[in-house]
Amino acid sequence: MFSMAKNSKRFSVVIPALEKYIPLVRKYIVDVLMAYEFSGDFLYQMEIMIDELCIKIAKEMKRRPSMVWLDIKFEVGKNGFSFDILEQREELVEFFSEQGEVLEEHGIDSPEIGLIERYSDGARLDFIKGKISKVKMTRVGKDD
Amino acid sequence: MPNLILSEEFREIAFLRFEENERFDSDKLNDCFDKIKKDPWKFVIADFGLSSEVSDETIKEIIEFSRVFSAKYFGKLCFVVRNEEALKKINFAYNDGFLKNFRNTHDAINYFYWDSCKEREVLRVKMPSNIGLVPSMRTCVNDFFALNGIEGKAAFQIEMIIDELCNNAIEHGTQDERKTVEVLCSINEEQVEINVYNGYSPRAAKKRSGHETGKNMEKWAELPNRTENDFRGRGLGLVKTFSDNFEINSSSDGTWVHVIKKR
Repeated sequence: MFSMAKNSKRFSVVIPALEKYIPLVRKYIVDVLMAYEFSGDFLYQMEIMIDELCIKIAKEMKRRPSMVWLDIKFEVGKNGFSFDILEQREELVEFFSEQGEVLEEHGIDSPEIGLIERYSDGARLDFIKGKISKVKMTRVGKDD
Repeated sequence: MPNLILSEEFREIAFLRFEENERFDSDKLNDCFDKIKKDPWKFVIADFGLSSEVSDETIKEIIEFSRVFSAKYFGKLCFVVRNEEALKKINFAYNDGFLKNFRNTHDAINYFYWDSCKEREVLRVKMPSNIGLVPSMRTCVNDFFALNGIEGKAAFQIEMIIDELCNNAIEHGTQDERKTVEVLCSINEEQVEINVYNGYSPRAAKKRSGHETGKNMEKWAELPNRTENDFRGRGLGLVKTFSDNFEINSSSDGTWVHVIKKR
């Protein structure tokens, strides 16, 4: 997988894992990429990918804010952009699976995941019982 | 009969889970209630899921338990019922009042922590120390507060506070992008809290700018620049005016500015 240069700029956003906050994260990341003069196409595709990923996780992790967070780290470098959503705690995912609340329509084979795999230059998604637990995604270049 | 789940993850919540269309068993149900009262748990979620058959006896026992639980143990009980028929039946037993029902356990848990425990919502953003990134930070924080009901004059004042504090953190700290500026915001029913941290040693800042960050900031907050044609030196005065509590904390690790604004 492509890795970011040492002098890349590092950002992080931590919010409660709730759907209502996803537009805020998406907008923030795109604003930052705009400040670093990434192309319109790149921004547009990033916006879709971030939206799909974060909404998916928020839907799966929807519960009390003081406990489950979307911990998003991203880096902007000369040659691209990398994006991480840190690992959710396994026991939580397991607890909710036991409670019978797996959202089947958002499983591993969903179209959103295909989209992310197609547009990124490296994507790694970890799952626990069909739910995303960790994401790492990289895109090379400012123009597509 | 019901399965009582006492999870390590949700220490204040007891999950009383009923299997689909199961038969009433008074002893087992009361055994669960006794366990709940013994500890005692603050919140009980009676989860019937998709079950369409809920016996009258079960509902009667739950109503009786919730009365005692609320009066004696100050606890709360809510339902998770997804079947309309079952919901109607429970509603009827409650005389169409005082019943909290949710479509899934997630929402019931959220209800407990947000409405009963009054927990706050938090946003934390870290960015490189670059003045060109302040507008995106300002928008992000503003969006966060807007989602939590802050609008109009208060929203404008918060925007000003973020703008001033981030600009100061960078301008009087460092503009080296390897260093970061951190903004930590929280909101609850009563107040808004904003913390801005620049992680840049005041000693290094003094070496660069020739003045002491903490003391200087306090001075500008107390006595803003009043020179008519001078456009600088009023930011911290504005921040102080717009906030209900304003505190500056400078140590070798960096400078924190902590602002509280009542809602």
